[in-house]
Amino acid sequence: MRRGPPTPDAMASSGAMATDGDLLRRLSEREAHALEVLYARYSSYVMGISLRMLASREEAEEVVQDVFWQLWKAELHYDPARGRFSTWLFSVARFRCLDRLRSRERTLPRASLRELELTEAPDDQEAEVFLIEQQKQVRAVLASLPEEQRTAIELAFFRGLTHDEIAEFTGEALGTVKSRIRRGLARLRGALPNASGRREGES
Amino acid sequence: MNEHAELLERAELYALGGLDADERARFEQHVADGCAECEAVLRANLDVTAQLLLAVAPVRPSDAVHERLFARVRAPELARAASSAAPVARERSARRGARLSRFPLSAAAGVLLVLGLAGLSTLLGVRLMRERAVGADLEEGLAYEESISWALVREMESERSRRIASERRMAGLDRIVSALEAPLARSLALAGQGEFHRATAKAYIEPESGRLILYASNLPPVPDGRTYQIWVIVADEPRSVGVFRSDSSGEAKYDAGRLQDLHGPVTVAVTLESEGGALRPTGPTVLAGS
Repeated sequence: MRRGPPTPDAMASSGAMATDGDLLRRLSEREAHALEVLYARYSSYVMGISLRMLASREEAEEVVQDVFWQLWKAELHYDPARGRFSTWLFSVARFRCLDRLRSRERTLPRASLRELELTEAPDDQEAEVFLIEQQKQVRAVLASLPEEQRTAIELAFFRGLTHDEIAEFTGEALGTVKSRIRRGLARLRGALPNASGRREGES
Repeated sequence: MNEHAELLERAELYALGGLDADERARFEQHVADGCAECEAVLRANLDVTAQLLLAVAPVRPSDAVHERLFARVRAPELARAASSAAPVARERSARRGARLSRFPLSAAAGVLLVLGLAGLSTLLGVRLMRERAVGADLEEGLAYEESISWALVREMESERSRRIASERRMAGLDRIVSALEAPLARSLALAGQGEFHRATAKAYIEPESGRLILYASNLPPVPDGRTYQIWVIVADEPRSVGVFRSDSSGEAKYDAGRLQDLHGPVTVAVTLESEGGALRPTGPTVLAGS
């Protein structure tokens, strides 16, 4: 993360109305308040993802703390050209969770599939409008996938399972698993807008 | 199948996160080497997979997470306040401050900062990297102190994660054995409760690494929509360890790491909860032992 002088607009904007970009600039100037605002804005999402993946409140909270601490320490490198800050941040959290899942003993009984079913969003007045609308859309698209494609994608995505492990889990042939994931992702690509709001090829 | 075709087939799984460490490293190297096709497929899929995360319902972390995080974030301010009380430190601080205006900490203040961080960490029970808590705090202190050492620290960090990943791969089942043989490991017998009186379990606890392994037998299969959930209860405060099911022979094993505060008296319990687990124990107690 670049350390540049604060720009006038970043100095002027403070509090909850500041954009993520403003807050990140202020964060690079080591302004703790900027981290407070980002934490208030996104920690529930990071927590929700981590809890879903790890099924342990304690470990999920460790991930929340690690992610925001590393954000503060500028150990994470967000590139605005590659998409929204929020989607990037959530991806970081997911990879932390996947690392933890992989470090667990692989033979432990796996969480059941039903656990992966989507739950309703709580009535969170503070959440950003963007996130809520995106959330509705993503859920609708996921729900529209054929069950077996959705299952294969969720096992890879939330549990970090490999092709082989998914095949073992579902009792399907390896080739079947691969083509389900491919077809499922293709459908998602077709139905979901580009996360960054940019077209391929634009910088 | 040549390597490119093989890796291209994995681009989707990479985006989903389902590659193991070796496969991931190979794929990343291949893209870094300039394969435009793999990179294009990867980008298109990463865009989609990033959005899948939005399907998950948000959950508010406990206030303790916020407190611990911001106690650490604001620790340097405390260290700075401490340094201004020491004249020598202040003088050196000023000299160095001119050179590194964004990191106006003297070596002495840096030491204070490190001590402050280590002390605060202990005090608040903050352990970002439990395995090497002191080392991590030292590294953090150094990283803050000298901008020059950032690159070095990052290098160390990535080297360390590579090493940890490789250790994890190598260790496999050995880890269980070594956990059980560790001198600090304690074992705990859990007795079946109520209608589960035939169930038995043994828990092995390794306080240093925060590891807990549970072996249970004679556990009936969970009814539909239910799950077994393990709790560690320290000072009357139950914390979820995870959820599991028994296999067809009524046996189950669960291996958890990174639990905190296992040094003192600990109660381990298993309850029957709704699928996905509960935040606090609500269902009937299946097994318990102290």
